[in-house]
Amino acid sequence: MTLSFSEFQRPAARRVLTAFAAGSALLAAPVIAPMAALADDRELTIYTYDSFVADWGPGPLLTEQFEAQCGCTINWVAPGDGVAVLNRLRFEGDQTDADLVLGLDTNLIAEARDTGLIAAHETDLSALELPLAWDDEAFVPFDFGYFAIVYDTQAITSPPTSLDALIAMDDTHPLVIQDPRTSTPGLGFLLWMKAVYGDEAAQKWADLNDSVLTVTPGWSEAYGLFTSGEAPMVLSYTTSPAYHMVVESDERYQALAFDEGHYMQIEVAAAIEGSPELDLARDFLAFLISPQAQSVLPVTNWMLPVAAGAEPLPEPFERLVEPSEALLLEPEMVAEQRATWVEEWLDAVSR
Amino acid sequence: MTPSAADRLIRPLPGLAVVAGLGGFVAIALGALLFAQPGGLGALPFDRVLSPYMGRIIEFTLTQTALSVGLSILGAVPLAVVLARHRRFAGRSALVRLLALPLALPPLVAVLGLLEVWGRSGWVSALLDALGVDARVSIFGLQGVVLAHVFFNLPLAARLMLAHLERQPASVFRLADQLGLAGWARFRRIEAPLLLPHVPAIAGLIAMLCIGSFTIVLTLGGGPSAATLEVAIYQALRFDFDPPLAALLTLMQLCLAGTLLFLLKLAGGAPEDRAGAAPALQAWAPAPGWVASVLMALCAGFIIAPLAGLALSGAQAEWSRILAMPRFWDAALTSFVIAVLAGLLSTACGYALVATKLRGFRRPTAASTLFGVGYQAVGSSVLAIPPIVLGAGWFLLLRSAPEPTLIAAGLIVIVNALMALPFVLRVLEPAMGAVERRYGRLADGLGLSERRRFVRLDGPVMARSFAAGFAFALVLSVGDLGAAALFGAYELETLPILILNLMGSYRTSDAAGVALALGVFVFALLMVADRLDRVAR
Repeated sequence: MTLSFSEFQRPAARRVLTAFAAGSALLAAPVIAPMAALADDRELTIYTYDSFVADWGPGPLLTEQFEAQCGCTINWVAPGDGVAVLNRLRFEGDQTDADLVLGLDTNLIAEARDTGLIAAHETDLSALELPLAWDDEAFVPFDFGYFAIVYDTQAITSPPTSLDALIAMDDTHPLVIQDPRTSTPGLGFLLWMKAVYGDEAAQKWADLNDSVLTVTPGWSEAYGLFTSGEAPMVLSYTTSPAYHMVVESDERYQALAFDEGHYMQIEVAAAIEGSPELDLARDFLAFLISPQAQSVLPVTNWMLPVAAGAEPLPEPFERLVEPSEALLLEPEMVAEQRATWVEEWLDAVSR
Repeated sequence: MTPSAADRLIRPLPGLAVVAGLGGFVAIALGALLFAQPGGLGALPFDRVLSPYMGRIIEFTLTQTALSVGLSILGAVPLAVVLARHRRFAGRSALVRLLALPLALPPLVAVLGLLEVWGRSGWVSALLDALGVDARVSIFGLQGVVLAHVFFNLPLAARLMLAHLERQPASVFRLADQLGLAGWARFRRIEAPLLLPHVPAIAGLIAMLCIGSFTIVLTLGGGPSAATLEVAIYQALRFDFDPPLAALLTLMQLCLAGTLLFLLKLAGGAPEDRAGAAPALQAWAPAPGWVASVLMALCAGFIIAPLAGLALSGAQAEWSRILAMPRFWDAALTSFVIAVLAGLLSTACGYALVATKLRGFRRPTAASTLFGVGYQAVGSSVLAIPPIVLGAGWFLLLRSAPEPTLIAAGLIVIVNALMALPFVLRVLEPAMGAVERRYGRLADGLGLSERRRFVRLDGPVMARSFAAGFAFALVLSVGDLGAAALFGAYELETLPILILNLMGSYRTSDAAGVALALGVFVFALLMVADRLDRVAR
């Protein structure tokens, strides 16, 4: 009365496989269907970070605008945040499906260039109105922001007006920052300190440590602690209050202007060398700095425009902190020194 | 009639196949990363693995793990015992299901829930203020990390212990009743001896989860000296883009985990379970006494309060907007499909492993020793491998394959099933051990084939345990972030990833709403799993 192994095993295996196939098909169906419907159009594949293509992000509106003028379809691929986009490129090398990458920041430019995958933009950048000259031949900036300490006006009445004053504070008004090893703003703050204090940065980090409540792995954790009332100050952007004022009509959270100036984050896009749709990719780069796109980006991505928009920005944007000086270190220098500076920080704050 | 020679020969095959398959899955991923750059073994960055900073990280990891494990177990014992003794008070089944919820929460959401209770403006501070006590609670630092880990793992330990107690034959408890054993005496004579042998295994499981903790340790740790190896692995894989270093650090984390498990095993010895197959439906079901009630209320309150905090803030979300988001429904569907597939795969693998362990080998052989090692590995240490590492390794290998979405979906299911396996095994192994002791000889004597044994014996008798194991796997997969986040396939957004994406775009209130929806979803899944169990019986 014994049955063979295969008789025992097969039906179960088949059931699992069928279930698996059905499940997978179910998952893939919504993705594949729209692609198949428009298969004869030209297609532009763009790698970007996930919040760019969220329902509330710039992705949907920009897609609509660009597709109306190009007779093509945009295929967005969002492997995670900006660093994940770069890593996807590095993993894929010249086999990448991307025609364009969008959403790297200035600190990732040097490493992105090292992949050898980045094509010259050949785009007229004369419309740019950045606070500093931009002469990169491959990367096109599409929005930018300044890092800033955002504070709760209901908790702090006389906030610090300089980085020096922030560092001198005690622990009555704790600050939440992000880890430079895992987070973009965290790295931004590290560079800000470096740009202002140079070789003294390590000592300043040690002094600042008193008022640092915790160092989170990412922006979301830090901002979550801030809005839940756990800490009255958080490292974020000068544009963060714009979101609260425009969307929530809430004036409670404001950014602090620091005398030493603020470190910049410029977000860039670039075409991929060897892409079959290189021309289309360059058209998209030009579109990104067009007045049409520049009106969309600030109110969906909550960053500042790099060029004049088609419509004026919502009123609260006029009341944002305008830094006395825009700080930015050379991308090549950042790529070279990042590891050393992170070590220095680690050493200074774990003492 | 005894099993034919052929049947005996194939008996160990399913388990061996699972060990080989899963071991290969892990080894291939690590290998792909180790040798991602030319130069071979000599080029590996060994010097960066052995630094003083790593020493500090390991010290902190061991401290927080020891504290978290100890407190979780201490708190879980009274909770499990009270729940096992008193089967009929109002809200019992809801409480048991709530115990599974923390495991399904993304760590960031759990942290926000804990802040509602333990934060600067949380309930505990408010209570202390009202009582006129001038003491500030701070959740940041070692105490916060341990608090969060206990919040996650106390309920897990309690559920596992409760499962052990519930599996005991009714006769044990009937005897205890006849002897008039109650309260402390009952615990000392009956329950403690039943639970004790399982403590090392449960402690090992919790230790693995604490070693690999990442978001909680960084967010609540207060600074970079509070870190785990996982942070270094993440950094190596992302910012430094150094796959070989990430793989080396993972191996180091595995060594650390393996050492801990070995020590726990030495301390524990082999569990000898006298449980019978017939599940105990305790006749003894009085209302809990006041000591029991207070103990239970404390433990339950510790777990429920943060969940209630989350539910309250979630309830204030703008539901019409969330429910109108197509992305919300897509994410819910994706989560559901991935979780069900991973749950099935994990339960099937778990059954194959346990069946092979318990009756695959008649006498020790080289194959059985090898299997034993593999079983230990997939049974615990696998949790010390960050899903992000597995994903990166496989991505590297499959980057140019067609249908990336399908492949990513498949990988996420496998990784989730793998990560749930230790939990499934802890439910299935004792249950099947009981079946074997009771019916094993009889089944052998009847010459039941493996298939009939499953259909006639294991299936029906262990239905409850299968359902419990499946529910565990389901919940873990629904809450998983690691595997799904890494592939970052935008098309494969699950509910936890949607929550993070919402939080990453200032949409805190929507995120709270989706988190509440996730909780309700998991609760509903657990109810369905319970129902399945009842139908199967």
